[in-house]
Amino acid sequence: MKYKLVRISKFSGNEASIYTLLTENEQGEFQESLFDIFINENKTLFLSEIKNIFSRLKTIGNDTGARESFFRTNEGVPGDGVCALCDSPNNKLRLYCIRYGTELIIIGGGGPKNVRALQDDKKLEKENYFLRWLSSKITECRQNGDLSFSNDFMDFEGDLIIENYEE
Amino acid sequence: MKNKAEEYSSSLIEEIFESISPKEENRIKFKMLLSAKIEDAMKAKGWNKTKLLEATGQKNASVATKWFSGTHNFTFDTLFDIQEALGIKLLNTTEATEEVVVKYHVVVQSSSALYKHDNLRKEQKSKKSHSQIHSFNTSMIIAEA
Repeated sequence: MKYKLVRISKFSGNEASIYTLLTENEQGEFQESLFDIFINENKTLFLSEIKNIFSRLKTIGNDTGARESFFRTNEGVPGDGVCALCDSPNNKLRLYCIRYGTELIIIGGGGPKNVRALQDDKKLEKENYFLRWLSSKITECRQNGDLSFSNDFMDFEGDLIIENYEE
Repeated sequence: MKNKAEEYSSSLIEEIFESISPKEENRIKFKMLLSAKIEDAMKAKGWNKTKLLEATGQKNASVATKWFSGTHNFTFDTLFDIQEALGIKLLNTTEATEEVVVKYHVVVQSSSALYKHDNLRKEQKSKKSHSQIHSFNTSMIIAEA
């Protein structure tokens, strides 16, 4: 399966770029994004939390940048940048991201967290482990020169197709 | 030439965006900016979280993480303690006033120069004192400047 890195224009601004991945359908076309899938999965039960996430992402992109303190860090393996966007303590919805400094984040999927450890929830575990895989894949692509950051670290440049994910 | 990422949006993203009220969006933005201001002020002072907690009389070490998360609902007392400790303004009780600075170029002529304006003085057709004429003449010059 292939994925394509795209920049979400509604959230991105002068302080940070917000990326997500388009997924490939059976016809080999890139269609629905991981973030759209996340919204569709949760909008019925958690619409107000989704709206909070929207406002937070817009503020990150346009006003504050992706400050480390706005994220729950260390949600992946050491150094891979996998984290979750903080929301109000009473809110349940987790959105997993990969953070590259204050200038760029990739948002993936997530879901409501009702367990202490994410490994106790199959859905969250799947979303989290996908981003761990993505982070390692991006590192690999950067090392072999297929993908790089722009000079201002706000964007990815190069081959934006990420492939060979196996569940 | 390296490929750049394409800009993306969807009808779903647009739809959710339109349903968010500006007030709600601003509330979240303000919370995040407040957190960022406190964190920046702490770093500018060369303090870490422990030092800030000491200075604000907090005992729970995890509270600073909540303050900086951009989601915390601060109480008045907490904000007051933080602004006193960091020496910044988080609460402003005075009415915002707009300061307008208007600069005039004022030329005050000497009394001997004033007498040269005989024609002007004749137009006054008044028996104003010397000092009164002086002030009139000055105001005319201000208006011209």
